[in-house]
Amino acid sequence: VAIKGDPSVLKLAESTSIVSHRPVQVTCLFFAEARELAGTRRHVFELPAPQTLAQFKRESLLATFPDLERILAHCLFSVNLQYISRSDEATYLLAADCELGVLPPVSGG
Amino acid sequence: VSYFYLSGHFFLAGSATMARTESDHHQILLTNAALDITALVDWCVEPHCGAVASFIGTTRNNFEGRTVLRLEYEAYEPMALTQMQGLAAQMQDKWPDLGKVVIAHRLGEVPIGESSVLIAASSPHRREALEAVSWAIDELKAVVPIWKQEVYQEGERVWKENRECRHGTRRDHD
Repeated sequence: VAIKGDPSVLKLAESTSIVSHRPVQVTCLFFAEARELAGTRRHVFELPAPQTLAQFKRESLLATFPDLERILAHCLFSVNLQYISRSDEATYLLAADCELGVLPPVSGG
Repeated sequence: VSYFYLSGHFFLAGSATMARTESDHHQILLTNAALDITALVDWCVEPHCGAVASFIGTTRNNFEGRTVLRLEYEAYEPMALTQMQGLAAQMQDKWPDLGKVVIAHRLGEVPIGESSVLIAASSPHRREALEAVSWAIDELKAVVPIWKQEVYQEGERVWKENRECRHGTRRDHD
């Protein structure tokens, strides 16, 4: 990575390294079939550093609740009550404490 | 048990009411109690409106030839409420002539033949209210985080999935 001399790039690199070492608390809520497979309604993950949502799914969620594998591809996620689009999961960074919903396909009505 | 006074009507809200918001133009309700359809539809009536359209979803006693004993609903309540408020706001954006809008969903165990969801809207003329309600029930089934489980006579339970759901197995979504 070329960061020679350019002050704006150095500043970005510094702030990124600060962010990447900050622990993050993710309060995970499970619903419907996800709740049954996880065996709980709620689990608090203490991440040593921020993760993208895609990393979180593999390295935190599935590592702790392997049975979720069965339906995870069909679940959508929410962060602080807002849906996260599936195409954003690879880039969406869980960098601050948040409430994350594991949402199987909905069936209201 | 408490009563809400709202725009000239009294509403009963017991401990079964899980979440409720209201403004001059819309009322959103999640409750474990039976929906009071008459009171909710009456709330939509406005002096300048000549129409109230409503959709009521009721629980069905069969699925693909099997006998369904009852249905059980659960919701991500604060998010469902936010999404339902968003639907009401979108209805009023898309059909600016709408008078009032009600979106109510029952949660917990719902016996067969009872109402699980109500959407109602008033408008000066019928077309806007009919279109808005029709749009809103499709949208509710697509995005609001509520789930239902059918309990069959043989004791089996199955989590359902709406055809309209944008992130399910029946339809690709990104």
